[in-house]
Amino acid sequence: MSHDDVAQNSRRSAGANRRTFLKTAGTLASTAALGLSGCIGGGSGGGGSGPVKIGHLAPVQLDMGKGSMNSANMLVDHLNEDGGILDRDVELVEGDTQLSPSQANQRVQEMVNQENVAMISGTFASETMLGIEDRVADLNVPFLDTGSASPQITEGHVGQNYEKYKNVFRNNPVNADFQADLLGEYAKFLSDQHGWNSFAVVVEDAEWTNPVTNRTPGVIEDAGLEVAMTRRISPDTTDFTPILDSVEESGASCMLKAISHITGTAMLSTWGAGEYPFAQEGINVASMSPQYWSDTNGGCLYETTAESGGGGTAEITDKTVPFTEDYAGRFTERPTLPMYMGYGTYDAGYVFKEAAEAAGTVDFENNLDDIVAELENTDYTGTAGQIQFYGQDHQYPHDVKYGNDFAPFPIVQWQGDAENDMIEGEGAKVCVWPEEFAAGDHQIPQWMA
Amino acid sequence: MTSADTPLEVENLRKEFGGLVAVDDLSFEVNSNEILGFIGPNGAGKSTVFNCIMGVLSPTDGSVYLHSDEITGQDTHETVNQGLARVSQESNPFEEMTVEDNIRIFAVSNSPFAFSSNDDEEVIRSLARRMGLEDELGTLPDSLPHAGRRRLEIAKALATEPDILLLDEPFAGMNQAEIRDLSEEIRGFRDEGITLVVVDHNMRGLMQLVDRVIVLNEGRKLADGTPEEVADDERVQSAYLAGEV
Amino acid sequence: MSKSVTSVTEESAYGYGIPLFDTRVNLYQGGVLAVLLVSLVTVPVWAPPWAYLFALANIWAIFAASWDIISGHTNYISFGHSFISGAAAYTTALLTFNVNPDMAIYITFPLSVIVAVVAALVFALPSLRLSGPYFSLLTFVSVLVATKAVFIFSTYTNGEMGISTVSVLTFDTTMLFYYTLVPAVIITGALLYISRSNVGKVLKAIGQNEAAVEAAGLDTTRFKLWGFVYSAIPMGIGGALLAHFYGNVEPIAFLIVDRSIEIIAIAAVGGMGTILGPAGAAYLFLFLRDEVFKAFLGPNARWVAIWSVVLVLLVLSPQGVLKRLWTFLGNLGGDSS
Repeated sequence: MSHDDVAQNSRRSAGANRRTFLKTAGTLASTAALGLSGCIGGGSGGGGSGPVKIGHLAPVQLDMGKGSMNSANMLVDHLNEDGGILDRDVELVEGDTQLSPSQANQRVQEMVNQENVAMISGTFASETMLGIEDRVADLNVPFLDTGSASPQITEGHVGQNYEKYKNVFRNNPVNADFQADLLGEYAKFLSDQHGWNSFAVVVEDAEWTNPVTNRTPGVIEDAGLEVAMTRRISPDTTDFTPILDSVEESGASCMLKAISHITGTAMLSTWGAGEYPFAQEGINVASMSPQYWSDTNGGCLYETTAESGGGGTAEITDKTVPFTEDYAGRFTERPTLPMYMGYGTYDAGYVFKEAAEAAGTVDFENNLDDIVAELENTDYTGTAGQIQFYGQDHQYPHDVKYGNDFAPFPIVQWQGDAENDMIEGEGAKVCVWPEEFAAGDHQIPQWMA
Repeated sequence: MTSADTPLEVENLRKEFGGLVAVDDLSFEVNSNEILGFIGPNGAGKSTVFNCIMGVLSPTDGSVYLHSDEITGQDTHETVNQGLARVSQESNPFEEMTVEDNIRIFAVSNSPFAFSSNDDEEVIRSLARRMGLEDELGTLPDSLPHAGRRRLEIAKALATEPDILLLDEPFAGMNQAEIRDLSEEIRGFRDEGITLVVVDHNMRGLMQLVDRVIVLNEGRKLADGTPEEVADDERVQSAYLAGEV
Repeated sequence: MSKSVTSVTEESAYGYGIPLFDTRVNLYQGGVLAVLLVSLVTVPVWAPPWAYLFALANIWAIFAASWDIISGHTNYISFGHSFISGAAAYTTALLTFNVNPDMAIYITFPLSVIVAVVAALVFALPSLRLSGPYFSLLTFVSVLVATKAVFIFSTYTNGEMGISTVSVLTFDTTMLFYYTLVPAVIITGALLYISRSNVGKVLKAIGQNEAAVEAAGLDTTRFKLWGFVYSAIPMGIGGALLAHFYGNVEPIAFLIVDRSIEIIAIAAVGGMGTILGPAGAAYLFLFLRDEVFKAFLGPNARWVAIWSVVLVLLVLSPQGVLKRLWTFLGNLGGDSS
């Protein structure tokens, strides 16, 4: 493999290239010659005639990251079956962020300098994305955010300095400001369904939940409903009795939560055992895993979570369910479904392919503006929705458009005896909102009935 | 307590190990510039006495005075820097350092900021020459013959510029010729003004060498006098059980 | 004054008999060293994609050499050196996060180094009176406590995800390499000087026979304390450099005990007590971990790979692979006088 790479290097032209003298003096150089992965050639990013490499950044130790990396692998196989990009084979460069911005920075540098990727997608935690955004901007590599929701990523960077950050796009998920508003809309839906008038907004203290604390209560109150309490709890919380008691005392019928680092297992088990008189709604990232039912021993029954792609339980587009089934057929170890980030990662590859082929190049060092222009023109039917991006002058430039016609914000609920046989076990997810995509009614805990 | 005539004084020294009394109310003085012999059968407590003096062990009771200052229980390095050095019974070199560096450690100043000094180099060289080690400066201690390792121990102790030198069983493992040579050197040290205490378990090597002998048995002073007086002392003879005193 | 080259008949198992630069360097040693140094200094020329990795390795060379001057010499094996560099990094990060994001580097940097030295003395002072294993345990505990503290005070430290407001040195990987190379060379040189000096020899003597050093009239506690200071200052410099290298400070890259253990492994592979050995081994280790084993995804597989290599190297060469290489080259020239 390394010999071919060397040969590729020597055929490359363009002034930025430097010959790499693999046989020169120095033990380090001779170690490199021992057939190691990756060419140490220079060469402009993506230019040349070898395979087009795309990088993916995800924390593979978590279900979410693993699901996304699996999706990335499947994406690359499908791309190659579909003729690759610009008739060139596509290769994946995997990068484990370990939930660490420092490590992610290093992976980004490796991907661009050593692997010569044409595009990078990822990350999961917003802190990771924000930690690498400056470097990504400096390197000019096209970047598609497929998992981090913070509005800062687009509004705070692309919006503040378009020229510097124009290579950054987000195709998934819907950004956290919109999510916060949509949670408020969902509260209205719950009120219509069940007559609930009082809500508690409880989130874990992290970057991505700031909009929920700041915006969701306003949307709920504008609808004439009551926000009985708002709280931000530490991501390291282990005892949830105090917070559940507080929600009960507040009289809220529904706890709208946003948690990611907190897995919710302990919270749900306390909630179910205590039969607390309010529903568990909102966003629970861990709950997106199909293994969550067995992780919580069924404690997640009646809980809802928002999930791009709807967990494959709704036909958001004609690609949503086939993609989900392909994934389930191919990956039998946990996570057995891609979860929200996987849908975004898969779509990002095709979004890039279309843009690159329209621009006629993947060479971002020389033709970034062409690639960016085509990315901005994206109108692609993905698995998570119809993907278009807001333009340069929008409040959230390069962010995915949200809405039922574009990228929706589906809420799924764990229900018993559901007909969905996507996963084994007694519980299964059913999409309950928006009504356009709902496959079943929203259920309330039997002790609240 | 001490005068210039008795630079080292031990007063009512007592050391217990649990229930065992190793040193029992021992008092003695060392006179300035003398060669004092300190003998006792094995197990008499000699090592314990000198470990207490050097600060390796803390006495249970009693005091030690060096040049009028009480040094009881203080750190070894402080005692050494006040002029009392010991050449141990067992050679204790830094096995992974050259002879030169072994002497160096004993010659350098007690400061973490003294990175180098030309004076040190001079001292090391001259000490090595004096102890006949100048050809072995670059070797490791375990390449030296037994006598060489002993001479290295002495060179190291001398490097600390002692006023009083304790020699712990210096003649062990030596033949008659080596004993004679070493005795000459010891006399030479005394001529330079150093006070010497030579510890041994019998008088054989000490008869001609020492001015005075103190005998220790079962942790207590048994006798104190000239070599002839001690050799004739019946209690000393019985302590050694008819072995040669 | 002439020094003779030592012909060593036996080496102890842990190798640090002849300090690396105390003997005259022979042609082979000098040649290889010169080639390696030239290769290192010109990395951005012959391997520009590796400039970033080697810049990081420059910082780790500082860590390894700093650990070596105290632990590699006195044998007081510290498992807590990431606490020292982490203290510096977190000082920089906390100042920019909680006080002023634009605080000048010429203020944050020296402050960070001072905090690192204080941190080192905090656990050195009480623990240096303890014997080997207890000292090591205390240093280990200090890292665990510090890591926990980061999570407890997450309002100020941002917990697991860390602080991103630290300014990045530069995005230009060539400049980054030289910005980190210069301190690495200066620090390695300074530590080498200390190691070769009388002070370094006393530290080594303490590692072999502390009682004998006391008997030499030297205050071993004071020497050990200053050894710690000589170690903590460059650890602090390295920690602050690392903060500006990544632009992010979080526990996983800076503080957790795994980082301390990596430092120990690097020093052991290079040859404890030689300063240059640990510094050189940092490049080898990072190259293996982040280039050769890159294909192993996730921390687990990659760590298994790198630690297997470390284990094999240490079993084959307990005195340190680089140290053995140096000795081998020295013997190639035969007994020179």
